[in-house]
Amino acid sequence: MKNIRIAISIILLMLSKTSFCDDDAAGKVSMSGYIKDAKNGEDIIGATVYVKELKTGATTNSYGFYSVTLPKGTYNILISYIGYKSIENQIVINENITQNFMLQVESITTDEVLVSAHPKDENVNNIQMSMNRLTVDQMKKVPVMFGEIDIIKNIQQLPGVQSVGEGSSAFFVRGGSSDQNLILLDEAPVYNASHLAGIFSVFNGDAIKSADIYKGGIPAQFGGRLSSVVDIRTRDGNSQKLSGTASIGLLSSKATLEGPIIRDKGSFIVSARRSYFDVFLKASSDKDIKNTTLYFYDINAKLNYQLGKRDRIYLSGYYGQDVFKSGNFGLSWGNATTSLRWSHVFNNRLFMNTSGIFSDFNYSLGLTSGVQAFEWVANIQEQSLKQDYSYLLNINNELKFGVQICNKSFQPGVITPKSDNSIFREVKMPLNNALEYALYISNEQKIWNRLHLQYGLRFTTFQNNGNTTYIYANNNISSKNNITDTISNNYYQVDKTYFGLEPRLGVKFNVDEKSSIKASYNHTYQYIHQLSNSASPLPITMWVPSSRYIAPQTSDQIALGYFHNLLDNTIECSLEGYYKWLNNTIDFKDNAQLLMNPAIETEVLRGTGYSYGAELMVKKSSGKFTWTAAYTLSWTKLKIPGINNGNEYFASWDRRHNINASLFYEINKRWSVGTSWMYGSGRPITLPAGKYTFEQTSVLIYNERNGERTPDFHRLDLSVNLKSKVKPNRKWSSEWNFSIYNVYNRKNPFSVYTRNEEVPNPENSNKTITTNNKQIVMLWLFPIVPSVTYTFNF
Amino acid sequence: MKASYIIIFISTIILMSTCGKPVDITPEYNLDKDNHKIPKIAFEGKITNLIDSNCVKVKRTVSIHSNENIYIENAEIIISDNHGNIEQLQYVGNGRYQCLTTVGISDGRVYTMTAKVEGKTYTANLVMPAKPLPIDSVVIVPDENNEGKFKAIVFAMVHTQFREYYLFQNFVNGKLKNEPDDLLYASNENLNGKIPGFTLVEKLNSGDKFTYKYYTITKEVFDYYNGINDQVNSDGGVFSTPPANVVGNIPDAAGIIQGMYLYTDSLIVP
Repeated sequence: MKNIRIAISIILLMLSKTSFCDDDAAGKVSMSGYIKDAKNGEDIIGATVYVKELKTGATTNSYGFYSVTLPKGTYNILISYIGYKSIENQIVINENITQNFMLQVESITTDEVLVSAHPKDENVNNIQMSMNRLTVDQMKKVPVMFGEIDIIKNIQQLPGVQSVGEGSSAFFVRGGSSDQNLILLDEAPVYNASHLAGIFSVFNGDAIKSADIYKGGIPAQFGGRLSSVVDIRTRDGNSQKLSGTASIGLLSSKATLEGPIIRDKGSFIVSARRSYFDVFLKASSDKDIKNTTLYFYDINAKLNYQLGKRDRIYLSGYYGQDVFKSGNFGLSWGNATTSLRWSHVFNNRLFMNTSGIFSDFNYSLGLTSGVQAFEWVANIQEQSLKQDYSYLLNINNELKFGVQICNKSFQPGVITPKSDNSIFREVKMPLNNALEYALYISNEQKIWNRLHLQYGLRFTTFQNNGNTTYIYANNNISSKNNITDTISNNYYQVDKTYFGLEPRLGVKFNVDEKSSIKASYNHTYQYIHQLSNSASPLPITMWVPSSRYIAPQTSDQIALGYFHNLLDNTIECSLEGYYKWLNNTIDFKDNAQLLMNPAIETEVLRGTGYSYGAELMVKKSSGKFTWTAAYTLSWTKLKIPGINNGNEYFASWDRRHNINASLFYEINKRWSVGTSWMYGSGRPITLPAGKYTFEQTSVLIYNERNGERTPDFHRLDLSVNLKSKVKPNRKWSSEWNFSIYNVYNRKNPFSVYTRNEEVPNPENSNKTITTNNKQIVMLWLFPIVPSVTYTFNF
Repeated sequence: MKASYIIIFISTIILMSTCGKPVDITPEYNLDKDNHKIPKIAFEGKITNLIDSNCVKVKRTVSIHSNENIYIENAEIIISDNHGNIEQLQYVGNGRYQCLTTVGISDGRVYTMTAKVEGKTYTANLVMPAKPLPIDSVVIVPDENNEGKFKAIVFAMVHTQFREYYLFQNFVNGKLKNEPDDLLYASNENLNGKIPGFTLVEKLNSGDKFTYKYYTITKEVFDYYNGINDQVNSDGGVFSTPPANVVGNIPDAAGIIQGMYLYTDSLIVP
């Protein structure tokens, strides 16, 4: 608490030192407005407005809005963003003005020297560190499996981000577990981002505009998870004309329709996908697979409308579902999110966004017939209301502040018998509720030209209400046998309240025009926890709130980085180091029963962890030839009493080395090629040290959690894109994408495990006999996978 | 059993996308790596209401690549209860120590096994579970999923007023069915009390001798079988729980001494 008091004092001191003078009186005026794509009217997030004479500027926020305060005068204003032609205007600013800008998409035939690929020195001058922005245009340049652009797979290739292997959408940021990532889709949290257990993510590339990934130095407006924030924004839709896209891929197809509601006033977009694995399964010779149903579908929709010069509303939603049926067994899960947002510009300095947010993750599984027929459903639901303000205090200070209130409900499971002679009775697990409140304020302050600060505080309160709580003898939660009483609270009865104060700090010092040093610190709280004890969460993994027995997880992270640009800012380099402390980190007892367990605290173990590492990234993102190279060196260890005899052990997602490299070359207007290569050293696994026989079954003996490692992982992917010829009167275009996944057919480890040895059956050469002898085997997933996708645009 | 449904799903995903068969890799460890950390002796014991079933087997733990059973032949094993009964078990070969007289079996009685093995004493305590409701019937009926075959189904009632745990062991022609899918254990936690025709074994042939053993077991034994189930059904993949030791009731040793109430019967498939 002493450190937090010091942090508060420092922040209050900084704010009190801030010049609260009247800028108008001091001859200062503001220019604000929106920056949009000239072709379709989409807001551009992160575009830079740069005032050449003052060597200062601003970037657009998540709604494409910017605001700068300047002394009265005439300025050369440079507007730039990645993939767009920069524009430079001389503007006389003698009073507060609104100035919108429209950027044209960069043409590949343009001479590379004349094209500004992105905010020229953003890498060096932006105070935010440990953040990556992904756009769909960038993601299209990376070869993808089955031709499906996937944000999560792109995130897994960023420095500082680990994955546990192919076939999983889980990702691990700077040593944090996969449930420590806050994934927001138009501000609505997505609790399960995977389709088909992780082969695809739930994010349809056609509906996505961009994604910002914060790995450290997390701004104060974000909270609720320890390790990262993935802020995904969907497209607004073409406000200029009706247009559409349809893609046919190897395993899924999708279609998008977008257009103006009233031109330049509002637009809509609807995008839908469906996979057709099940069609291919019918061709299998295996009877069980032939009778299996397996598919997913999802739909994104968004409306936006400009009510006036100062007001705009957005309504966006996502609905997706996975369906699996095999014989008598069925399993499905899905997410639904809705965001209703209203953005209002009070004046050139004050911007507000108000959002009402709904998110639901649900699953069901069961058997449809027989004496074991049952259905089991569970869900987590969230409704929240938030307001965010951005206030340009003066030329040197931009304040951000806001408030959020959120109601969460957790239904861990309801079992319903599904046949007249079912052996099951109806069982309803107690509903759990929680209320989470947050207040934040932060300021980005320019101390002097070279030194910028970003400091903020986030205050959170978490209440566990309307729940069922067990009372344990001597507060000993190690066993259900210790339960002595049960307390049932109604919705208005709070069982436990937690408070959290989360200081955030960022510093940037420009060494010179081409290089800077940045540092950050953040303290974060996480009040909800995913009940997963596998490296990658199962599709039916549930969440639980903090309670009187499960304290919030907390984390502290410091990061230091050096940023340098080369060759007129065309090549960006960054080197970051970090150290992260994890407290109250959660793991589970050996053989824990996490499903349909109302006393989940009896299975939870708590401890500490730490992670440290270095991340190097070099990239060229302008011109015809672009490339990225990233290397991560990191260590992640956990120490949890009850696991590994209380000794430290490597987290399941610990990888010592990660390398990701990608190249993309636009040969001409029609042809382009891309390739990527990735390498990850082996991840920890647990293998047995011995065995014994019990009831004619071999029982394995383990002596160390995660004491061994899988073989290394590496893979090369290739893609070739062919665009249709551009003809003056043609109103449509098309594109072929040919890709090869795992070009050299590397057998990358999915798992290494112990199983009973299979030997040939002497009576039937086509069959094997399972013996009781054990063998250690490696299983791999995807061999070389060619794919083709055809996309049609109108 | 619920976990196995998830395994079906994950297996299908894997099966669809896996190319080629698993390959052997060479582990960089063996039993001797940290030999002092793992138990050297394993017990497998039952105390039931049927005297013939009461025995304790003692053997060494071995490397996972070893296929031999190393039996302990000179152990001293004593079973006693909290009513003053005591008996030293007799060695009958293959690591098996047989209980020759009953020590008095009844619900809730507390038993203690004391074993002296190679100079070290191992102790286990266990409680005899409650007597279950008797099985109504086990019948042989045609197997609708396998033409020309039969299956055994059970009709029974189970208690619902208090928690009970069950184990079925099925033998066909004297051989225990012990494939991963054959492991049948359950609790009555979510049951309505009626078992109206639950399948015990499929693919029986005409003339087969089918024997079932129906036990009520303690929570401790239920957890033990649950641990075995987790082990045998794990594929070690990213969706699997971390492999873990199966915890018994004998400190410093592997295995478990089970207290079980047992019904058994045999049928000939018509």
